[in-house]
Amino acid sequence: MQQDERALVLKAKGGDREAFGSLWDAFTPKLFGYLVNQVRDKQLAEDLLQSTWLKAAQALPRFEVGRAPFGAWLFAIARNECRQHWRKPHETVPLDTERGVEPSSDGNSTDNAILVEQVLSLLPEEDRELLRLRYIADLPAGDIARVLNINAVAVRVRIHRAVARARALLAATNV
Amino acid sequence: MNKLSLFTEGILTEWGTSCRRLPENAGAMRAELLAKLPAAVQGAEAPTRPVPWFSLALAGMAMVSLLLVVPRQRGQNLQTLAPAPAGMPTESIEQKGAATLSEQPGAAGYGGFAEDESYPDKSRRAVPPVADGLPMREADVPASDSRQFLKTDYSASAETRNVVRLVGRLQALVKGYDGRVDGLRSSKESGSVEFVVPASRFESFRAEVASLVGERFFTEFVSTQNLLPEKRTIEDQERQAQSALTQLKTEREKLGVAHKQTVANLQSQIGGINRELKEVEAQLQVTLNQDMRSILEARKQELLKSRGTLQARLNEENWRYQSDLAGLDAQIKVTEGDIDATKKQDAELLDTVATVRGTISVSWIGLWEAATRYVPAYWLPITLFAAALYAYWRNRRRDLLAGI
Repeated sequence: MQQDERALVLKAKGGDREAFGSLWDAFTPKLFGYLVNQVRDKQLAEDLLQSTWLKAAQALPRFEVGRAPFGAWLFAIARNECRQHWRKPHETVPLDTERGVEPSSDGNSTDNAILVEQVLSLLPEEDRELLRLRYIADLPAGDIARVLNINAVAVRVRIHRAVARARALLAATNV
Repeated sequence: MNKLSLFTEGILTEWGTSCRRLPENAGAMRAELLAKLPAAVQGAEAPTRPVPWFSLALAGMAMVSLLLVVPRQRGQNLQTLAPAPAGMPTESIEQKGAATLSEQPGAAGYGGFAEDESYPDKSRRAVPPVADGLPMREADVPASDSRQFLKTDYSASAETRNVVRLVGRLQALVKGYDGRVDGLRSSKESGSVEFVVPASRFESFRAEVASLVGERFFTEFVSTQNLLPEKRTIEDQERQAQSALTQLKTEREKLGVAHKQTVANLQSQIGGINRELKEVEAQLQVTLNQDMRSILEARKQELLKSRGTLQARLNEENWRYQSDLAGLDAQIKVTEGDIDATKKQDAELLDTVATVRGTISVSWIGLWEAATRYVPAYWLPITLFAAALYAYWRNRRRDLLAGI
């Protein structure tokens, strides 16, 4: 865990609102981007975002700073919130790749992002989850391992294989 | 540009960055959360770290095993085998199993190796003193004699969870191999089987005994000794006895012949005297001349005296003959007895070579000790300590969502 992040977490555990707010500022873009890509619904993503932070706040006194990285813990809560949401009966939301992509002044970036979205849609969910945690949540392999409850070496190997599969699918489908 | 080549780490990183954003009503959400924060944070329970009971249990087991298993395994390495049959020589051929020996069969060997002080003059006796049916070993056996008379002794030690059953199986096995059970002892804790099996079937018998228990629970000791020196001693003894017997019989015969000659000679002389005595008495009957009668009387007395002497010599000769004959007959009887004894020794030696004597000791083994046969002493506590450390580490790294 970064020293700044560790200090903020300790302060937040002590009830420091500003510290908690700083944590919110630091992690929310990654967390929201992850949730949007996960559930494909901005409204739902906002609800999950808020419930994730609320649960994190409630469980913060029980969080041991040295035991796990704060980011891994936060995203583990987020994943759990998503799972609990999918367990509830609800209407199926059609996949909308456009919702996950922000318009950019750089057309090339947008093309690349669309390409990635299209390729990822061909991958199994396990691979997509790995790539989300790695590139959207920007978590290191060790933190991803804590989130998914596997070892770090397996994480690296699976990410490598996911990218390889994506390339293979791209080559096969001539997208 | 080829899209395949575009799918790189950089593209993915760029994609990930582009996905990150704040929600539209980020400010309101932040404020709402922070507003709830004091109640949420302050009202939450203080963290409690549970005691790692499983790790402590594993560590405790590791300590116990270290204290119990290591000294026990050291003791087993010094465990002795079952006592070897009496007379086990020092020449060990083969030993299996994990146990090493701290005691070797003594060099006392057969009891017959010691000098028999009660019979110092061996020249008068064809067969030297023996014990356990075999004579003393000669120190030198010529290399030209390549004969083998192998005496095999067998001793084994087996550990099992069911002593009574294994002893029963061993007993049946001995009988199945045309052997003989000379001694049997059986209880829940320990047992033993003393047996004799034909040497020709020993190897297959031995293999089957070993197959009754696992290799780790079985130790055997086989010793083989060539009884050629004993055989040569027996053969020498027999030759000497036969030679002595022949000599004695020759002496007896000579004695008989000499006696007959002597008796015939004496009887002939006595016969001559008797004839002359008759003549003298006849002349005395008819002779009236006193001078002649005096001469005849003197001659008669002379003849009687001579006849008496010869008769005494004859009696003496008969007595001496009987005495010498009895002596020779006694010696012949003893020598024939010695020959019978050597033949008996030879038969016993051949019987010893043709059979294998052995003892198998059986002892009960507990589950813990059985496990230590597979896992050397230090591995068990080391493994348990490693498991304790791993369990503690896993406990520390347990599910992130625990308690949420």
